[in-house]
Amino acid sequence: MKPAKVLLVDDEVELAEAIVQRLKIRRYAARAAFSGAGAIAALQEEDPDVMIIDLYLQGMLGIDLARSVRRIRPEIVTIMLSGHGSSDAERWISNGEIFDFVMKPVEIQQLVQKIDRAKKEHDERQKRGVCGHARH
Amino acid sequence: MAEEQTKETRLGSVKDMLRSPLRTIEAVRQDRYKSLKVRIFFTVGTLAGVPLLIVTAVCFFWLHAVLVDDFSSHLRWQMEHARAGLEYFLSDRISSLRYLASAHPYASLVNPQSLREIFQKRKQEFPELIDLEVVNADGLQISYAGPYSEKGKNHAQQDWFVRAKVHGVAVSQVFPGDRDLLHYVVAVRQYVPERDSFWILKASIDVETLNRFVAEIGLTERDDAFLIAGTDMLQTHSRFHGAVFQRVAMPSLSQQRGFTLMKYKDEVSGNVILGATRVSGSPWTLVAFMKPTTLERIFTMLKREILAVYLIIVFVAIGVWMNYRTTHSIVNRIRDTEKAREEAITHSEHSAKLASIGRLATGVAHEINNPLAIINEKAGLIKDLFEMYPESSGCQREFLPLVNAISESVNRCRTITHRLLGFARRMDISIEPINVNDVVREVVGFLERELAVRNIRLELNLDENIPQIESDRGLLQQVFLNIANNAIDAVSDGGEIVVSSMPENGSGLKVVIRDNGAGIPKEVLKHIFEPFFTTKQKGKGTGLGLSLSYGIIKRLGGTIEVDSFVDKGTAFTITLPLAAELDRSVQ
Repeated sequence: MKPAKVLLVDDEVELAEAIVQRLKIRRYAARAAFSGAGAIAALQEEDPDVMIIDLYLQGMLGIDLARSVRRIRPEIVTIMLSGHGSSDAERWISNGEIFDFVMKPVEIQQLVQKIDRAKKEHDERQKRGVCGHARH
Repeated sequence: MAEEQTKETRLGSVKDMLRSPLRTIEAVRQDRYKSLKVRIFFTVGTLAGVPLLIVTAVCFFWLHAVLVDDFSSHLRWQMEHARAGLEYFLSDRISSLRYLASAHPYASLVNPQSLREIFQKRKQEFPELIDLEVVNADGLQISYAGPYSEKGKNHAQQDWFVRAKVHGVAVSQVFPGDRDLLHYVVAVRQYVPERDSFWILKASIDVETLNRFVAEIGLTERDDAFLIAGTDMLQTHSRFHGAVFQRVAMPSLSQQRGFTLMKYKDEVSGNVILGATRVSGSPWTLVAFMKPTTLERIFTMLKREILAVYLIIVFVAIGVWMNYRTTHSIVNRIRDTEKAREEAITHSEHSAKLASIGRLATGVAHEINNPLAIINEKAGLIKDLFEMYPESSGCQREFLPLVNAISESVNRCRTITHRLLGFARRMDISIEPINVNDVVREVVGFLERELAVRNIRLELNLDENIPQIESDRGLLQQVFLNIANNAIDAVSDGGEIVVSSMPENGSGLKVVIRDNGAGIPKEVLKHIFEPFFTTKQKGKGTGLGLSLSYGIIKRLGGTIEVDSFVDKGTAFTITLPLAAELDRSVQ
């Protein structure tokens, strides 16, 4: 399995960069975006398998971004990142709006595991041809 | 056996006291005050009431005696007066007859013509005179003047004749007479020395003369007075006891002269005062039956007034008492309402305070989480870089422990922020049917080792009838464990902890965890549900246990309350609803 392409969206630049660097060290094709708009722009250039989105972004909620991504690029698997637990996350997972959820501060091993699971999910989605429907 | 039983009861009550020492002591104190109140009330009542009753009774009986005495002396005076009058009248009749016998020569008396003249003259002076008669020593009528001519009548067998013959003077009982004209006889003996013989002048007098004297006794229509002859034969008409010659039911009176006064109960007249006095020189006794009506009336009035006074006293007392009760209950109600309002305000203030502290804590934790995450990632990156390029730096050996120490500290901070944010568990609420007794038993299972080491007795007093509830098993375990741990810390070695469960009238159930430990001072009690508030030694407690428990129970739709008294112990009461209604406002 090829390492996943990861797009990390977090308005904490230092944090985002540190995590991206650590993921790169672990041979993931990772890049960071620091806002919702940045993330959309990045989606035009890149084709990530997995998106890790912070719940609170400047000017918007991570979940809204996740919903948009799900609508325009349904094959991308999203993982929500947040500072605190929320019963909403449970609901979002069970609704299929996001794939997984990670609490800050992140244990890198845990994050890697989750990315790998997400990548598997992504590959399955592609196999099922979800992308065929969604891509215009 | 009995002794065993009392021992059992005593042990039972001690057990009860251990179980709920505070409430039992409070109840005993309340009972004591109640009985003291009753005793004081009755003592004061007796002290005030008894002398009043004694004085009333003494006055009543004294007045009764005085009135009876007064009444009796009045009756006696009246009767003595009537008797004296009658005696004077009789002696006057006798003297008048004696004068007739001595003033007129025997010959003129024996002559019917002249006797008639004498009689007529006498009758004018004294209209009740019925006839005059001269009787010889053998009792034979010699001459007669009056309405009924009874020539040759022999009176030898008559009582009055015998008595006049012996005593020289006689007054007879009342006769019906031949023509039903009631009369009595007064006779005097006249001695004739020259013949050593005697004759008797006899006069018949209408019984009306007696009635006059009887009537002199001032009687009311309920009283009765009459003359009797012998022990009981009526000589004058009686109002209630029949006509002349009838027998009267009477107590036996002494035949001596003098005055008899007694209380008597008669079938005809009821309760009466009976006065009797002998009329000397006659066969009669004057008798009066007086109904003590005045006396009775006075007494009835008196009784009525006393009753009225007592009734007034009682009504006033009742009024005062009711007034007191009403005031008392109104004031009590006002006090209770104010207290309840204050408690409600305090409670809501407390809840609001806890909620805002909770929000603040979560906010702070959340804000700290981001920089913490950065530190964590940067430290992680440094380690990653060290691992990627082991040869790049010579001082890797020096740096790696430092970076690890940073990671460790971040982990510690993470534990705190995650606990504050209700990480993991609070996020994953899973509602399922639970038997709370089982949860309690599991928690006690965790603690058994520590309880044994410290020789703490833990008693389970679980009601198996509690309902099954819908709640989160893990969260409840966490709460029970927190509170039980606090209880264990509170009691000294050898102390006692009682965990009880009971149904809460239809709306769920209650779990009470009670210890007999040091108790919590009032000023500390206010803060125990606040986060980071701890009285434990530094490093021994985070101060988050009770705060989290409060949040969890609130989130599960229940309540948690604490009662504590210093040196007596602490009781945490957790109330849980039948189905947890998740309170989403609680983070």
